[in-house]
Amino acid sequence: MIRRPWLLFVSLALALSLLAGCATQGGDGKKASDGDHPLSVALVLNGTLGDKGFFDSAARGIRQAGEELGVQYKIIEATYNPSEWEPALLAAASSGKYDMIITGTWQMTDIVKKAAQEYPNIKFVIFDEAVEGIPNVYSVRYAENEGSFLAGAFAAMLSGPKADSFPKSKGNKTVGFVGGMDIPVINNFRVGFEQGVAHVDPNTKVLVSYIGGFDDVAKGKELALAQFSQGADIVYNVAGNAGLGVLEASKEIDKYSIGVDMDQNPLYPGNTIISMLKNVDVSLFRAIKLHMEGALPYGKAETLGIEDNGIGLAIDEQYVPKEIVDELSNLIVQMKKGEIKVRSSLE
Amino acid sequence: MLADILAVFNLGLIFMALRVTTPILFAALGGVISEQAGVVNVALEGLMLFSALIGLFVGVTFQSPWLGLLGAIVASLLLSLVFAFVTQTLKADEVVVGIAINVFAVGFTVFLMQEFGGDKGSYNPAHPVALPNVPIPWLNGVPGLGMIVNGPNGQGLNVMTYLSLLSVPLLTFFLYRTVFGLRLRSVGESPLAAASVGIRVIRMKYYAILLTGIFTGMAGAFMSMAYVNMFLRNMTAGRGFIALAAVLLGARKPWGTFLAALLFGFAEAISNMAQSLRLPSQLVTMFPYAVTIITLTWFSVRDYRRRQRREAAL
Repeated sequence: MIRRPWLLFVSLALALSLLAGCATQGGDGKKASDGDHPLSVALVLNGTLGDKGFFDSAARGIRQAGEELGVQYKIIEATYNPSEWEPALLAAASSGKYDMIITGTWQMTDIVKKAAQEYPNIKFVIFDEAVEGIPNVYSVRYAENEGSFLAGAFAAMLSGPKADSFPKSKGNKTVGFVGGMDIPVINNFRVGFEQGVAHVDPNTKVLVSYIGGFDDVAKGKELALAQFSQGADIVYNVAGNAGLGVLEASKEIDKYSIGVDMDQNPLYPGNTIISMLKNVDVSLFRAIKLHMEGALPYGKAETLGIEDNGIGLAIDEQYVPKEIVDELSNLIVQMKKGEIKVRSSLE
Repeated sequence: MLADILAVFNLGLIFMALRVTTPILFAALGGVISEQAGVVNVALEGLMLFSALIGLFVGVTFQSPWLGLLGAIVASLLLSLVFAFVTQTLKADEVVVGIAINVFAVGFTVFLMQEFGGDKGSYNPAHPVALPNVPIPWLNGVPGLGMIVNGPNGQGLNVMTYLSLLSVPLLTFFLYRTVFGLRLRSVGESPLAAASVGIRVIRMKYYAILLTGIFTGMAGAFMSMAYVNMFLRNMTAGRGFIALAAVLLGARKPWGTFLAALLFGFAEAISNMAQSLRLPSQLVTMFPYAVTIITLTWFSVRDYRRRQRREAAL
């Protein structure tokens, strides 16, 4: 039985893109970049692996590029100490070993801009942030507002018209959102979530809380418990590691929660029943592949949405009836056709 | 809107505040003992963090939260021993060593997580252990009280919360009614005078630091085995420093510190409940800290006036 068709869909799309890649490369998988050495890539993380989200996903994309495109890579974990980030990135750039340096998040923007000017021969890729107008920098963002729209639509169904299909929902017409910090990237999730809720039922209330950081898992749990006590049937966590507290809260008092960034459904089966995926891996694999084909639009900022698999959904079909999965699929189709436009708070 | 705001102030809020207070109260009571012995112990945060991870490791390994609690206390004691050795025997500056321990704890816990859990971000065991909640069902008959001690879902307060509350009178008795407590305080009050009557000052300070370690160990165990049932890097998120503020606000005395910790707990709980009312999040997040600054100012002004009056009377 397939429990997460969207994951399957994503992997199918990946497999197809791989086939397409092989076709142009004659199947040797070791296409040279400019000389005859393989493309060499450094991934500089302003954190460490093991975040069960963003950074792990980025590393997965790079490893996949290593296996399937024959790219040489190194993953550099610059820890969570901000003073380490700039030296780590500049060290990678000045070593002369890498043709391409990949890094992510808004916190690295200024560092990348600086390094890109100092090392015009190296290509830089920054994910989850928009940097435009520098000829050797490509940036990719994710339409988290679109994914959150789907999460919001699902939440509103669960807490309103479709409450009967979910035994732990009281149909209170109240849903929750727990964000890490009150900052633009997080609020883009919120804006999309609210639109999704309103699309299904404009009368459903959205409770919004912020932890004020991404570490305090206990506070994340506390805020979620507060929202559940205020009637929320389901809470969406957008708070990095601290969001795990939100998921645990839903388990503890047996309500529902929504995962984020990657498939968090297996953490608390039956309570976390849907996750909004930010496919950093897909986007980086795509970027590397486009670079090798000479088609990566440097100097530009791209936003990958539902259409390019930059984002997706993981649905636990053991707990979500087929009828609702179909409705979500309908929404996705409508979004792809442009019949539903999801506003972003970043534009 | 007003009705919404008033709805925040229900009895469930007290239940939540007690839960929020627990780790702060444990760490703060530990801080009281060090302060009373004249030791500036800013390592509360690091001790808590370290013991939270070790406690969870031990608890999960033996599948017993009680052994986990013991493990947390032993871990905290070991790190406290290092603190005591470096500051008391080797005479290093207490604040510097305290900060070093805090930084060390963040890094070392991540290292241990990677070595034993294979993950640098979080340690989310497949079979977590939890220190039990203790519901008191017969109190549900008492209006109000049932809601306070059993909570809106009747799950009850955690056993550690009761232990932390019980610690306040016990510590008061220990500090003010026992010979050991008297000696400990005399060392803090005037080490020279204490030494002149034959009290071993350094040894007493060692004892005080180790006793602090027991309390921070319990605080850590609560964090990873009761509050949540996992460990995350830097999960204490500044609670050790809030505890330190509670010690100072509470004039280094157990009951005063208890009230200060409770004040912070309530401020935090109100902020948690009020957030979802769509007040500006910065304002609400600021609330507990604003309360801290306002109360600290109020207390210092009061002390200052009192001192002036006393001087004027002379």
